[in-house]
Amino acid sequence: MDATALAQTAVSGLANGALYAFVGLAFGLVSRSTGLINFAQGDLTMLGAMLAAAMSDAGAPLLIAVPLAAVGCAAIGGGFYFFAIRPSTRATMSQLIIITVGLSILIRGAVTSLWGTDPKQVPPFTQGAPIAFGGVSVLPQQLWLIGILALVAIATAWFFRRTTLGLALRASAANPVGASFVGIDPRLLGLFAFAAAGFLGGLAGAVWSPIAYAQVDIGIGIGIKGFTGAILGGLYTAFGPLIGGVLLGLFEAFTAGYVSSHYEDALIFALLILVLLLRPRGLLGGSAGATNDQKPEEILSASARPTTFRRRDIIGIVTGIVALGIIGAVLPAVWVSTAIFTGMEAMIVIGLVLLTGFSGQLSLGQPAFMMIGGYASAYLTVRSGWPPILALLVGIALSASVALIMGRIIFRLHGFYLSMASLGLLMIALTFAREWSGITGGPSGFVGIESFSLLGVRLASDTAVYYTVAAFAVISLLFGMNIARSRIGRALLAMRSSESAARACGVEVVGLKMRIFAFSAATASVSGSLYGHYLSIVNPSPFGLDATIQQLTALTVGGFLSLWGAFAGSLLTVALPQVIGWISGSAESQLIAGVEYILFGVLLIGIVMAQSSPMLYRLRRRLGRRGAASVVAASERAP
Amino acid sequence: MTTPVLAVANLSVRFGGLRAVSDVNFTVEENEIVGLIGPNGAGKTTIFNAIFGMIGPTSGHVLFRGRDITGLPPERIAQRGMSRTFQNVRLFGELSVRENVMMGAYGAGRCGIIASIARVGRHRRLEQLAAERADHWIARLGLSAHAGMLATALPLGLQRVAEVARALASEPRLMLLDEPAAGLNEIEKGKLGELLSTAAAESGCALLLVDHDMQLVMGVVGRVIVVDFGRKIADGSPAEVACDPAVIEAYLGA
Repeated sequence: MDATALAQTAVSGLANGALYAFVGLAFGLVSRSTGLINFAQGDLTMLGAMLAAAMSDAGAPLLIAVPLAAVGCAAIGGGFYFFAIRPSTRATMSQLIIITVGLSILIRGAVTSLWGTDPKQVPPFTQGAPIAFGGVSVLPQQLWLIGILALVAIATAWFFRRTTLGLALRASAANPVGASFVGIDPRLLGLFAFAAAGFLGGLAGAVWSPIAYAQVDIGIGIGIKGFTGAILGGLYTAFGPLIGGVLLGLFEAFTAGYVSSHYEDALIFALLILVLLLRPRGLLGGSAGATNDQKPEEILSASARPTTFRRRDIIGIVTGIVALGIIGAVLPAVWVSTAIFTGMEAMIVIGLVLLTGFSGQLSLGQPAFMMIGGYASAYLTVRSGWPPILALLVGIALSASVALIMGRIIFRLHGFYLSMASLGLLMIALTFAREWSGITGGPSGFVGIESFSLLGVRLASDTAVYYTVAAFAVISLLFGMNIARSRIGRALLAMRSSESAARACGVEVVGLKMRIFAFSAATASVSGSLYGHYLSIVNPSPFGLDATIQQLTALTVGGFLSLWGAFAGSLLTVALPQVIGWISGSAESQLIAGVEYILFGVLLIGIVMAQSSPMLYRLRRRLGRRGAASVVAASERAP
Repeated sequence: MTTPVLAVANLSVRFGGLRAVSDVNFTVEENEIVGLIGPNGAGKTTIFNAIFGMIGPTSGHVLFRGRDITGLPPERIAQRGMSRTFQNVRLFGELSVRENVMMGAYGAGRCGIIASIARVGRHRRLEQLAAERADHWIARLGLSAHAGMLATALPLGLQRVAEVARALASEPRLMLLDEPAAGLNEIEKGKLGELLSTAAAESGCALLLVDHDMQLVMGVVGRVIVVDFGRKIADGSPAEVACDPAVIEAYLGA
């Protein structure tokens, strides 16, 4: 390799690195002042690019369009904090992160409805040919991007070192309670952090967009890379995200140029997991073990959760099984596939209830386990001629192993690393599914999977598939119930209120979280296997982030701690797009897609806000106490 | 001579340049109630945390029932038969009082997720054991009327009692109590003191009490260990310690 090519790669890496550095700084601002990971950060960047492009298309000069786009994103970020995050005072961290997922879909829905999914571009700030520096050609826009980042870096340093607000932000990050005693309002800082993060993100998008085209779905990728850069450099340090972002840009450019352009994304997420394993505080973050940024999870329930089986549970299960049987017999044919998809979704959500609801760990990567199950079933039944049930079990074993290994790395750390790391896992899985065509069939996937069979009986008709899925869903529910209504369920709830007290009772916290993650991976894997058998095809497209969003919405709608709710939530999220399709009829499909996103976003944000508003909480708590009081009264009356 | 239930040998803990605990030695015998007292900042809580594995000691050893437990994580120490309560009560907010106390018996046996899903006999026996122990201690400590209530809905005095019940449900050989009197009024302190003495006598477990509330400590314990500036300055019966000049100076002087 010659020096010129090397330098050329470095230049493009630096330019992308500047983008990641911006986004990483924005992540850091929000995390340092509120402890949250703002999942919508990448989408705010995408929105910045889109807004600037739209204004410039409408004839606005860049000098106005670019700052206005950044200010627009700042307003959205700040407004989002003020109207959605701040009022949700009783929300758990997982719920708050889910609200930011809601914002992410809202932004994508709005962009899709307004401008469609076609790429847009902001014209370069200065016209002219690439500038040559001794054989290395540099686009003027790349210089703009790097130059503006340098200015922002200097401004950030000045802000944190020299201004009262910057000092207050650092103080509040170090000790929120202490800071509030000297008159620093943490909510004001949250507002500032979200607005500033929106500004940084929007500005980055608008300045970067002339180099590459902006599209509605680039936000997630930019978001994860910015986050990875921030972790690499040190999320909780002032300049770590900056240095980490630039390093990540270079790493990306060099792996794409010299290692593999196909697996470049997978390598980046592998790097994220490696950094979390070896140096969770980042390069600038010092070497002390795990970070300690987790506020104790708030209490989700207003009354004591039952952790032993009651008669109600048994009646419920029997009624449920009978109802599922009757439904299968009387359901009109058009609804059978809806019921099948609902059942497959419910299995995943049952896993999430235990993982996110009971143990307070948010995974955004469950579709990765669906893919492991789906592809294992496809490969082993089609290529190796295995019986489907064996292939399904292999899928479970693979998924659970991956979850155990990943959990071992992540759960040593306090905080919400699982949400981003699991997203990284999903991206790796998607990359492998698309690129490793020898095994996975590439983008078009595996075709010709036969329907599921058991003991030689092929279950091919829609009704047979319905009963198969219903059986697996009921088994998942029973397994989930047996976990929730036992010492394990108690230990999970205990761990979430006080990890140290749970450990003092002999609970092995990391091991338990790992095993619950493995359980949730197993149910998702079964769902994926059945999906492949039902549609007779697996390819990467249904396992993207849309699937994650659907699962999170189902979890939120059904209730974080309700295994029964998993079915209701899944039914709603599976049926809703169909209903929208019927209502809209022949309307433009792009608009429908946009409206669907907006609807899911509103659902997520609205429900979490309703669940965590203090008023509703107090009401439920009062009712709960009355219930408890009547129990006490009854026990006193008993002889 | 019998093996002491707890032996702390040459224990030192440093935080950076600060020697929080230096070279502390003491033992707690079976069935003994020992107080660990000292002025604020003397290193009591640090000793406590080092014993229970919340922090690793810089040097020295902690022997529990004759076996070295230095450096073990708290959950392993708990499984070996030591339990503790917290200064700022840490009951599980989403569980009822009874379920909180049942959690105390969690470490009584190992039984994982798969065993729970399959509801094997071991799982059922553990659940039954937890329920029996919980009902026993709830009745013994007078919490029966509150068993079904959300634990955090109890007044502080009862929350402390519930925490003691949870700690006792593990059938510990040694229970560490971190400032059990903090935030209680005189009457509640008196009741808690009596309750601790009877509970210790009944369960046959030794107690190590950390407190600077002399009233509770002196009324309950058989022996007092006094620390100041991270060093042990006295070890003896309450009466002896109360007239020890070094102790008087630590509390009143300088």
